[in-house]
Amino acid sequence: MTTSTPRIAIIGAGPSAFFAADALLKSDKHIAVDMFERLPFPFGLLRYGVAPDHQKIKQIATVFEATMKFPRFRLFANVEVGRDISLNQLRESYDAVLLAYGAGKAAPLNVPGENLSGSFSAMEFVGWYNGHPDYVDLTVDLSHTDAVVVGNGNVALDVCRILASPLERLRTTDISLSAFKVLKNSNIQRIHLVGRRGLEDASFTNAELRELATQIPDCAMSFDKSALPNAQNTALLSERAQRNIEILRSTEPANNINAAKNIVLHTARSVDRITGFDKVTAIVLAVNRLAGEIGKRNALVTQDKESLDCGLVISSIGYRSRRLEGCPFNPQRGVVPNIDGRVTPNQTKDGKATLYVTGWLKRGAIGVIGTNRADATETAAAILADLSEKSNWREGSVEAFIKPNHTVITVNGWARINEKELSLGRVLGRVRRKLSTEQAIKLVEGSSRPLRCAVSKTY
Amino acid sequence: MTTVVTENCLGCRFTECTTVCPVSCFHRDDEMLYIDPDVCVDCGACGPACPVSAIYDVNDLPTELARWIQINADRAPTLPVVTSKIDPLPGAATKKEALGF
Repeated sequence: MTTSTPRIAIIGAGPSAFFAADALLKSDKHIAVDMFERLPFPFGLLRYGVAPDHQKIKQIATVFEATMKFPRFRLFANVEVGRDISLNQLRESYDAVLLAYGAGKAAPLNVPGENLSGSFSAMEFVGWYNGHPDYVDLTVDLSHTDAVVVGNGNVALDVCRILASPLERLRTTDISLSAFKVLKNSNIQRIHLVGRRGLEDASFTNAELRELATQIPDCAMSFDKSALPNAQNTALLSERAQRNIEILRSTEPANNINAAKNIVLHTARSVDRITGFDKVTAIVLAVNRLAGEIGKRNALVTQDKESLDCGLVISSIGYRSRRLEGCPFNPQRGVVPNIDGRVTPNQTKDGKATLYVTGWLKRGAIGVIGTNRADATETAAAILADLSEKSNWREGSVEAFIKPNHTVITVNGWARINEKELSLGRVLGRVRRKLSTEQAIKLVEGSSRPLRCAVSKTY
Repeated sequence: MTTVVTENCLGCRFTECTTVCPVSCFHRDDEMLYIDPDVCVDCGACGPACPVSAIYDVNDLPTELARWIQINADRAPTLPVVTSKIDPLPGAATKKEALGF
């Protein structure tokens, strides 16, 4: 295939991948973008991370749909780099390769009992209620009255909120139907939210904490009021932490003593171990001593321990990226080393395409969706600057590397899947009913050939 | 519920917020930025990006700034969209300092 335009491969189809694609396609360099996604579905954490009761945020998908409409954009979903095609093959076929596959591993608690039945990472649990193909079939048992969520970030709040929500809050969303059924029969009465440090140290955003603390019907939040910093110390905190303390002060647990669900905040506790014979029956927490100045305190584990009976433990203490064969990786930070999005050390000595990185894979698993737009813009600017020093574009057809009988989900294929999901949702009075991998592939294979052939279009 | 730009932006217009907005909901006139409440998805990315804390979730909006809800809603749809960083207004650095940031 002869091309007169620079061609860029993007690995991953989540928010940072789409923000970068958009910046590249809108440049004056007439760039073509091919996006590779492991799953048969695009949008990454917008689809599988953002909670089903946060549909307003999911409207960002309309922005990504618009990016997909660029004539020089192609989607290769259901194609895993490292399995169906190698990074080296991409580097031989494109003028630049952008890594945007995010953080697909949960940070482990590293405690005994972590692998017991009933102990999950938030990645698994969130994937379960969001219908993620890897986790939708998990067996989640909500028959015990007590659940424990470990971690003090927004994902931990999402998990608490889903466990605490009256079914009516979830009924019309795109929550997985099987998860909805399990939640319908939930016996959970108390959700214990465990933080290593104090309430002022939590990384909750104000909106997420406010929602859980004050906006969930028939749900109360309680905590030891003496764990709140005094007015003098509160004044020393960040604006966000100050507002969080205000939100917590404004909750009146006593008024809501008969609520169906109770969120109990445990501060200055670390997980010592999870116990049980063949499934989780309790968690043992170590009491921490907090040292240092307010807002920057360290947790020091003491010998004191306390045990809490529970049937479910969900650890939500962060995400790590996976290493991709053929790409530099910093295992300590779980990111790809880079300067302004250019992967270091520079890989061009072999004459193949340069590597770039964006999103969680670039800076670690922190920040909200919008944070990735500024991040992706920076990487796109680096790509554009480097491309402007070249004038010969690589010729190469990536289709030759993909097995001929492999089903690639293209932009048209996704349009078909999207339409099907929305129409199934309408029948059920929901915003969407997500398809499984098998259903999506069958739908696309069963449709007319142009869906598959659309991949082969040239520019 | 929505997110609003308030008076600290007047005369500054740093536009950091526009670089993190996923839905292009910021609009500008010669003095400041405004958020179109019909487009904003309340993702919360812009607030922490503002160097002069001009942006509020309405839930956190001090009463004396309440009028900015209507001002944003009225002004934004009539003005051009800003999706990337532009130079701050002359005097922005001085105002920032005066505001105590």
